[in-house]
Amino acid sequence: MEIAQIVGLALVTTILLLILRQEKPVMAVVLSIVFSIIVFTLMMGKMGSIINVMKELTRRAEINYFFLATILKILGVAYLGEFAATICQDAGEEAVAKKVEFASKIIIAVLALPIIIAILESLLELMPR
Amino acid sequence: MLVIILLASFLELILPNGKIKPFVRFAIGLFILISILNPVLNFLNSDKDWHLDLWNYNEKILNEEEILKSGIQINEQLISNSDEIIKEKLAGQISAVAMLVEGIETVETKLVLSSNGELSTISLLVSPEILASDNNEKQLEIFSTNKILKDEEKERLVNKILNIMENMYGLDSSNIKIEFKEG
Repeated sequence: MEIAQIVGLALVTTILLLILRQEKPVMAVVLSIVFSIIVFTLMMGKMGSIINVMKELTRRAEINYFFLATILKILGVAYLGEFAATICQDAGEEAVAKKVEFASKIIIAVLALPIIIAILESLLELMPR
Repeated sequence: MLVIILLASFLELILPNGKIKPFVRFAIGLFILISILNPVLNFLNSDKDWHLDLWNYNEKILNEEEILKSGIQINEQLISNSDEIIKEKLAGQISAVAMLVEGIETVETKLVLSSNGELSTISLLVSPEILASDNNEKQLEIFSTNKILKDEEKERLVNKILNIMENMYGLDSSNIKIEFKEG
């Protein structure tokens, strides 16, 4: 049961963070980062299986894989941005968290651009000339 | 369509809860839109002949047949060319052998080869050696003085040539024609 491991780890980390935040706030931030990385690493394999299922579904539905790949990249950027922003917020650095969110939004917009162009081209083909 | 809805719902489910969520939802919406638009466009453009490759494939088979045909033609041409060369060389050889017979000056040879390239008929046009009236005695014995060959001389030459040809090329005497150029 991986969830039990994660819950246990989360409880221990929370208790340690409560203590460390008063004694050594810097160490508390480090511990928070380490916990995030551990959880992320543990979930990597599971995420891989989800992506494989999605790939298979798109292949069977004859959907261009490029679009799904872009969506998955966007999802990855969103997750990483959220992680970083949360850590920054935990450390009390709201401004940095905002910048991370801003960067994430811009990257997502850039990644979505090819899809927007493809939709526009399709719509133009549908238009009577 | 069902797969697209399933995928979209699944992606929505695993979205991170935060300020970036609306952006990711927008991207997923675009993905759904393009996934639906693509088959629609394919259907609308279905009046185009997508089976062109199949026709090309048939055409390719015809081309291959033509290539094979022309290849066979070239092959036949090469064989006939080589037959001609062999014929020419053999005719020269036969003429040279026939000219070794005493009393023959020149020989023109015509050959007929069978379909499998074997020698079937030899035609020889023989020019006898015309003697000058004051030449040596031996020649006087062979040819007459009025420059026309006697029948016995002709027969002797024919027999000699026939003998050589039969022995050399394994032909029957009926397949060897000998004529004399006279006058």
